[in-house]
Formats: sequence, structure tokens, C-alpha cells
Amino acid sequence: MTDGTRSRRGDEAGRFAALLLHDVGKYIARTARNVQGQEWTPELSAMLCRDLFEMAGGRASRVFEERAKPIEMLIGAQPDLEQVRDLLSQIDSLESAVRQGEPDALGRAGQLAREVEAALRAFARTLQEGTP
Amino acid sequence: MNPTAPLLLIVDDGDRYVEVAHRFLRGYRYATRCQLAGPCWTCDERPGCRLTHAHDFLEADEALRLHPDVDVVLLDLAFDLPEARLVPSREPDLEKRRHLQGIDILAHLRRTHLDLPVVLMTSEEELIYEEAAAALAVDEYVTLAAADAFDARALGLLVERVLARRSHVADPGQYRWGNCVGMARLRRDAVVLARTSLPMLLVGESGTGKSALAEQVIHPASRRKGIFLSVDLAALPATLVAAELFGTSRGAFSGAMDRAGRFERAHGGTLLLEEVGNLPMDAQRMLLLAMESGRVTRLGESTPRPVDVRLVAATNADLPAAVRAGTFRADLYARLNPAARMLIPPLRERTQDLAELMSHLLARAFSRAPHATLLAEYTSAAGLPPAGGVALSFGRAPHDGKDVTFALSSASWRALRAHGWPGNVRELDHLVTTVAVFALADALAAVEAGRAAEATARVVPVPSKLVRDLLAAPGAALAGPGRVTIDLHPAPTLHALSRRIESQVLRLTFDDSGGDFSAMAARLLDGDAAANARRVRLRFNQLGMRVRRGPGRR
Repeated sequence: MTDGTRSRRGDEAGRFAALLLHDVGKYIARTARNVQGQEWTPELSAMLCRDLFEMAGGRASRVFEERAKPIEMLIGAQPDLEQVRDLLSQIDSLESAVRQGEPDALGRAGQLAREVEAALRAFARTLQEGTP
Repeated sequence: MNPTAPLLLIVDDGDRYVEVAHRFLRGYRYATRCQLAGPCWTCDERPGCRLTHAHDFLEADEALRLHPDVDVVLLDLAFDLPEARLVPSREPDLEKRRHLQGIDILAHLRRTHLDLPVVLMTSEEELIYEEAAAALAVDEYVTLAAADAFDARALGLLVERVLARRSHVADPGQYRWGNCVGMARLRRDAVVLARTSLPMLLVGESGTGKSALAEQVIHPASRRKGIFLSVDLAALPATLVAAELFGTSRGAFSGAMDRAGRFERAHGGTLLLEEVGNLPMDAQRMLLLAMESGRVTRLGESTPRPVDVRLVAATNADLPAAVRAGTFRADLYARLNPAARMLIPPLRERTQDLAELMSHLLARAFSRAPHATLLAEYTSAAGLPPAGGVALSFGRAPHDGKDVTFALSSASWRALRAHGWPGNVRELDHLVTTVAVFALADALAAVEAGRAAEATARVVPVPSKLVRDLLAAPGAALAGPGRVTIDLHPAPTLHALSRRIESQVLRLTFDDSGGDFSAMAARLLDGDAAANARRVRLRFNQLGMRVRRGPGRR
């Protein structure tokens, strides 16, 4: 692969990473960022469920896979994306408890959502500064 | 809900932002598209309601029409909408348009709301197209929310910072922009360029407001701590221009004193060179040197002095033609940054702004002596409570209110719109003030003679004939700065001729300044202002001239 091709692919991947950050990273922690240390009321729990499992396009893990796929096709598997995949898997495993409003599950899911956002923001920044 | 809380408008294709705002930022008011009172979070209609915010640019227009007092717009970047609901564009890539729809909506808003603060709910990492970043770089009223977009506490602090900054931004409130496209472009360019160190070149006909633009907009927007100073190069004898601009040292020429020039006096501030096309060649060379080196040398000295001046040059001349004719240096013209010259449209090309300008000029004229005194005298004589201010009505019944309203007939309004305004805003200013002063003087005379009813005293009719006569009259109102037009007829002696000319000059400046002898003296004489005002009043009387009270006594 020539340097030019690598550079073009890096640019493309950067664009997809920005979309991933916008479509998943920004929205997934929308509620979680604002209720740290507070009580999860039914209204807030419903908002969190929408963030995690009812995004435009489906649950967060599904939207993530759709947006991450072209990046991995362009520049191969990425440890950062693997980490996010793992975090989203943990969130999915908490779905039932979160929907039932269990405080511990809500708190844990919120924490995981914030970690997803931070990881995706850092990943997008890294790609824009240069292909990893 | 605090009725004075800042009013936010959310523009987002979804409802994620509005949910967060309504849940976590309840200290603000929100510009909805519905007529119901009260915040959305207490409204029975809230579930499923789509009027809580704007989902596209058309709904943003609708919300801004309903709430023209919006303080800050929170605008999303990407909009997943059908093409028909996107801002029209020539960009063929639909996905790109959707991703950057927030930028297109911002540009759309700027056509009507040039300085409305906008927080773009995105971060630099999401701005993947260079043109998006470029568009935002020149918009001083936009702020990126970055990672704060969904952090309500951080977003609230960001909104407060935006609101605080707005109150510190140059207040162009004194300068009336109007609504024409040329003025909108001018406003944007002026504020952006003022923040740079580039020279600025203002081009426009006499009376269009170049000096006001420099003083009321460019100087404050540049945020410089020094003073604003202007020098009219057309009013200075060619032999004095260099001394005036660059200063003198004792002995430089006969009678020369140690004296700082305008450049030195404007150090740290803004220097406006009016009618820069009139600059003599020698002074052009010195100006070029000053601009290139940032130093000026007083006449008679050899050591240059550093100066830090934001230079604004203004002209109504065709400088490229002057360069071709060899009367203006090409290198100096290039140095004046002609590529970014700002064109101020003549008034005849912005007659849609006439009513707004007239109301503004009238209010300004009656906000200070001597016209404020005349207004107070009138309201007192008419038995009215003190006026809140003055207003204009155009061809229809004026609103009730505390203002004294000058009522123009439909015929006058048509005549004003059809007029060519060769003297531009300055001519309009003189005309509005003269018309109002004469109309008020007539009304005062009627009240004093017991011919006016108290019930109708709040409205002062402006005779159509007065407007017609003033529009047709050549004279001070049509003249440029420092110029008057006089009627010259042969006289039996030179003494009689000069007396006749002097009378006309005094009469024109008297009318022009609304009968204010101090203002007349400031235009006619250098030196002690109070003593000059007395001299002018004395001369006015010596020449047998009398103060007119109104058109009926002319």
C-alpha cells in the first residue's frame, strides 16, 4: 500500500470515526452525564433506556457495529473499538435490570455509557491527528 | 418561571437536546412554536408535542418570528431529514448536506440574524469537512459546545459565558444597519476585519456614514484601548497635511512647535483618514512608510517613533482611477487592503431602510439639547405629561402612547421614497431634523395661541409642503461635510459680496445645526468653544439675521 493510499484511507476512517462519535458517543451518555450521584427517577430511567437501547437505528451496540464496520474495513481492527464493543456488550447484559429500574444496574449502565463516550471521543481525535 | 430569564431556541431534528434542556436546564425560557403560556415541562400537552422546538430551518424561522427576542440558539450539526426539509443547496452529496445541515442552517439564520449567538452542539472532532470549520471561523457569534453538548451543567455555564460575552461585544446599537443585503454584508465584514491588524478601506458616497461606521462599529469591535481619532484630509490645506498627520518638532519650519501628529495621538487606538484620495504625494510616501514600518517621524526630526494604530481609510473617490492617473501611489493603494474594501451603499439603494433610519435620526435629534428643550417646552405648553420620546407615523393614524408623534402624510412619504438622496444619510438627518423642528415650532405657536386642542396635541402634523420644499431646496442639506452651496449674485462691492456670502453661510449652518450656536461655532471656528459661540451669535445679530421659529415665519 502506498503512502498516498494509506493517507486517503486514514482520512476516510477519520470521517467515519466522527460519524461514530456523533451517532453513538454523543447520544449514549446524554442522560448518564447529568445524573451522576443523583437518584434515578422513573423519568430519568426512561431517558437512559432510550439512550442505550432505543437510538435512531436501534440499540447503541447495533448502531456502533454499523458505524465501526467501515472503519475496520479501511484500517483494520482497532483495540479502541474492541474496548468500546466490550463496554456495549456489558450494557446490553444489563438491559433487563435497567428497564426494571434497579438502582445498581442504572448506575453501572450510566458509568459504562460515559466510558463509551470518552473512548469514542478519544478515538476520533486520534484518527484525525493521524492514522493509528 | 422568571420572565426575564434568557430565552433559548433549540434547533434539532430529534428531541434528545430538548429533553435534556427541559429536564436539567429549567432556569431558562424556551422559544417554542406554540402559543400556550408556561414552560413545556408543566404543560398537559407535552407528551408527543412537536412544537417544543424547531426541527428544521423553516421551523427555526417560525420560532424566531414568534420570539424575536431569542437570546441564544442551540443548534445541532447533523439533521437526518428528507431532502425537501434541508436548506436548499447546490451540494450534490445528500449525506454530506445532512451531516452539515447545522452549518447551512447557521448561514440561513445569518441572513436575518447577524449577531444572534449560536451554540453549535458539536465538537471539533465531529467537524469532518474543512468548509464547515472555515464557515465557523469567520462567525464571531458562534460557539462550539464541544463535549459540553449533553452536559447540562457545563452547557448552562457555556450559555452564560456566551451571554456575558455578548454584552461586551462592540455595541453597534448607535449605527443603523437596516435590512438591505449590502449592509448585512458590510456589518459582517466590518466586525470581522476590525479584529485583525489589517488596514481597512471604506468606500462610499459622501454622507453614507463612513465616519460613523469607523467610530461606532470598527473602533469598538477592534477592542483597542486607545482613542478614536479622525482627520478629514479634504479639509486640510495640502501644506499642513504631513504636519497634522505626523507631527512637528520645534524649528522644522517657521513657527513650528514640538507637537504630536494624529498618528501619535491615536497610539493604541484607531485613526480614520477621511477622503484619503486627497492626500498629497509627499504625505502619501510618508503614510506608506508609516504603515510599513509602524513608525512615524515628526517633521524636522530624524528619529522615528513607534506607533500602534488601527488605520481606517475612507474615500468617495475612485482610487483605482487615481492610481491610473498617477495622482495616488499604487503601492499605497495596495497597502490599504483594497481586496477587502467595504462598500457602503448609497441611501437611494436602500430605501427599504428609510423609515427605520428616519425614526432613529429623529429620536437621536430630540434626545439632546436644543431640540429636547423645544420638545419639553411644547409638552409643557400643551399640558401634556413629559414625552417618553418622539416617533414618526407614515400616512396612517399614529399609535397611542407616551411619545410625541410627527405625522407625515402619504404624499410626503411617497416623495421621500422617490427622492434621490444625493447627500445620503447626512441629507436625511438634516431633513428629518429640520422638518420636525419646524413642525414642532408651528405646533408650539398654535398651542400658545390657543388654537390647538389638548386631546390631539400628542400628534404633530408635518405639512406636506414643508417636506416638498425641503426636498427641492438646494442648500446645506444637500451639501457634503465641510461644504455649503450658496447662491452667488454680483454685488456692488467686494465688501457687500463677502457680507452676502457670510450671511448665507451663517443661515445655512444655523439651519443645519438646528439653531444651536455652539454647534455652529464648532463647524466654523477653531479655539475656545464658548467664546466662539458668543462670537457667532453676535455676528448673526450684526448681520441683521433673526432666529426663525417655524416655517410660517420664514
